[in-house]
Amino acid sequence: MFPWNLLLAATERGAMSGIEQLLLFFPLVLISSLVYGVTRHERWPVIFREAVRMAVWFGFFTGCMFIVVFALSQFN
Amino acid sequence: MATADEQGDELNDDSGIDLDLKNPYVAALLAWIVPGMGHFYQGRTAKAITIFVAVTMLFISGYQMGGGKVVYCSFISEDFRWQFVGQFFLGSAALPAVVQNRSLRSQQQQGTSVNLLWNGFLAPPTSTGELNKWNRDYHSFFQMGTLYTLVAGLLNLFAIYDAYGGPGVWHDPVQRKKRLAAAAEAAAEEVS
Repeated sequence: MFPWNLLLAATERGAMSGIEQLLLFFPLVLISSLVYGVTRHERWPVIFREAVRMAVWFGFFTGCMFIVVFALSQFN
Repeated sequence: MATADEQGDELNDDSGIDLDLKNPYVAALLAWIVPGMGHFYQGRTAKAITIFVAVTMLFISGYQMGGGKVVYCSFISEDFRWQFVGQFFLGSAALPAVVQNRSLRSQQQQGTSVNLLWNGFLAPPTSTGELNKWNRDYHSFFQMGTLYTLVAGLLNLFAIYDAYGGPGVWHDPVQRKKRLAAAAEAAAEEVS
């Protein structure tokens, strides 16, 4: 069991709140950015810089999507 | 002596890196079977460990979140599991799902009673009702687990390509030009 799952284990199965779903987004972004950086570069300083750049880009992109979807949900 | 700018460049790009990819086909195959294994074969140990830990952690985490039900192979009209295409790049972690699929479908075609292999490990649902039950039981955990395992597979696809052809930056035309120029310069120095 990994840290973010330990956090979720406190809640009942099948009752994941929106905030918890949002929390699960962070490990996904961190790992995706790191692995992308690792496969694109060979030197560690460059890898870390690329990983940070990708994480910011992912965060910005999904943040924009979140705002659009959230705004649309207000019309229901 | 290198100037500050040159030292900075050295840290900021990979153009001068000389890599021995050994047999790229073997490396790609190993990278597919176990994430990071291809890099380990090439002696890129730090990368191998990073890829293995990151991809495996993501996969196990997603697998556990979805109660072990999220990785299965099924391409029938009632349950077209397109996510398995991404999960397939996890190699050894996804192969049992293919075996389970073939075993279950052949039993269903013969009309015999269904007897799942390995206690149902990575087996597809035997009916639409069972799939509905999984979704009811695990709710958003099922979707999140599917997403985690799918992303883990796609990240391993990047890793497989890196093991086969070297880092992505090698294929960048500007970087490639720099690398070839550096290699030509080194060769010219060697001759003189």
